[in-house]
Amino acid sequence: MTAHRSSAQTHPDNRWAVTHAHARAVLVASVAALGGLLVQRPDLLLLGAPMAMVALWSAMTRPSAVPATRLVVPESHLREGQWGRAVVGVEMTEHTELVSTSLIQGAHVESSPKHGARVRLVSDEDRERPELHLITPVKPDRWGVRRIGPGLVGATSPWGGFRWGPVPLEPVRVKALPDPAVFDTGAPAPHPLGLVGLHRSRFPGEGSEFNTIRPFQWGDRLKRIHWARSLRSNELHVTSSYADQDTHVAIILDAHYDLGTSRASEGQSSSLDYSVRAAAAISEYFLHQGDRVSLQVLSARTPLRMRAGTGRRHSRRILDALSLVQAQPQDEIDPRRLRRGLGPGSLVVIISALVAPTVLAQAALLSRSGLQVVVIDALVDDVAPPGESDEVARLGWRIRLLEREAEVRRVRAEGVPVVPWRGPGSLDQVLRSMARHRHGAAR
Amino acid sequence: MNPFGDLLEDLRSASQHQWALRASVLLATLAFALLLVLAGESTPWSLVILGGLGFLCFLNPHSVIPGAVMLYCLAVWWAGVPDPFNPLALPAALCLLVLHTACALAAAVPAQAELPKALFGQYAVRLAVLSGATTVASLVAWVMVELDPPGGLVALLAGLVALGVALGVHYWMVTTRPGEPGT
Repeated sequence: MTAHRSSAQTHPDNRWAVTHAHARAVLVASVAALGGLLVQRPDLLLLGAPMAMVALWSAMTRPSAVPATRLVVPESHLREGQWGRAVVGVEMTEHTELVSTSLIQGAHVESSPKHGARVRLVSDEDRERPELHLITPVKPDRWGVRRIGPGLVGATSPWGGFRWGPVPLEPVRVKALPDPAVFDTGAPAPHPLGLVGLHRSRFPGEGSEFNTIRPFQWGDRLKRIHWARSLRSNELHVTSSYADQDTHVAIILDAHYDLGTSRASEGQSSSLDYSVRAAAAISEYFLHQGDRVSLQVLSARTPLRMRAGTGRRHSRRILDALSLVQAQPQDEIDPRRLRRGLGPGSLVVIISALVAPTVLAQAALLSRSGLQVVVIDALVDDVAPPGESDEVARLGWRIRLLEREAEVRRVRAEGVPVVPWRGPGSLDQVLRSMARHRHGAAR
Repeated sequence: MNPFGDLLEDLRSASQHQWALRASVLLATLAFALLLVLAGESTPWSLVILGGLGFLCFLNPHSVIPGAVMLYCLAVWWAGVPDPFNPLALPAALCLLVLHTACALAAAVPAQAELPKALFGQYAVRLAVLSGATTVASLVAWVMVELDPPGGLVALLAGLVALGVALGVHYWMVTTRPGEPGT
């Protein structure tokens, strides 16, 4: 739970103060009474009588204790597009009647209602609880560290006579994990290594998929004896299986540039959005299969190298790391650093917008060194080019796109498949062909 | 910080409940103006002037304007209604009560917030209670006017002393330091 004590306690409005409404009631009642007495007008006394009663009622129900307050987001992390809760807790004090909160909408955070204002009438049940909770649903619509709040909280007594606050609530930062776009492929990952994955090896071994029935050898497990065949042939036979194996999938995320705008409300995503979501989807998919997945982020601001690992905790670690990615160009990429930790048989998935030729050159180098490399092109069609309003920039962008096409053709000729990211099924064809041509590249 | 901009933004984004409360403010002022015209010698221009003042209250329920408007209402009633006790004083007092309550509620919450429905029920009951008490007070006032009891200066002084004591007690009550902030 991420909890923050707000700076409300030191705020000058952190007290029960007389409102304009109470001052008005007292003033009007007093003037009416004074006027009525001095000019002998009972009707003036009568006009002021309800105000006097309101003033008396308000004064009798003046809250005595100043409540403590806090803003809490119970979830330590959220997924982008997932609704969470921002809870404003207000300590219950006697005679508090209305509690109001207002949360300011941060960048890439949606709240419901949109303005974030919420009012709660304190009921008798609420008074029995130590703390009143006002819940505002919030939804980060982009991955990253998102700010919930700041906000204001205040309360009033009956007849709006006394008001506490509004006092500020400090914002809470919540990690929004990228939403792994649904990625489904039936194709096996090439070059499985190790002994724990779900991919069927070409070699016999411990596994669950049937291979053949063969004569018993020393070391075979008794539970594998095929009794029917053994009785027919008067010789012990066992069933053998293919080994279940895993593969090392190395995801290299090029976060040098972030092109286009990211505005979820209008359905717009930037190239980095596509890259991060593709990386999240691919890692989730392969980890779910039992493969080992490592992650490298190429960015001058948030460089990252995460060792290969498996399991749900590793998946969470990868999503955590992806949520912190920020784009910044790097002067040069060290190929030795890129190659580190990539053993033979690793599947290297490079996700990039391919706006700079260096990443494609590195992909070709890795491919030449014997690794299976797939490049995912994250510059999806709806990504708006930079400097759209500038004619010269637009021309420059078109020239760059032509150069980019030529570079992609060259790297394809080197045997590196370049796949545009289209969400589900983007890699299916490539993985199938790579599995077929173990020693060749898919084209 | 631009107060006028904030005012417009509040109006632009105000909830329906906020609009209803502010409309009550305007209607109560207009109703008071109508009663004033019916009860005394005020011209129909009072409707226009009080309508304008009511509109100011509509725009600024959280400011000192409603208080000033209510004092102005007392003054024009005193000036415009010659009878010491007019039966229309009772509905006029209730109009002031509605004006005050609607302003207080509108100022108590963010303009954008929807108000809980139970709040309206609660305040309807409270207004009914105070209306009943005001009706009783008006009957007492009517009886006093009809009986015209002797009192003179003593009654005046007693009334002034009672008012002074009430204000003193009120001042003591609202300036008593409340408990320390909770943690």
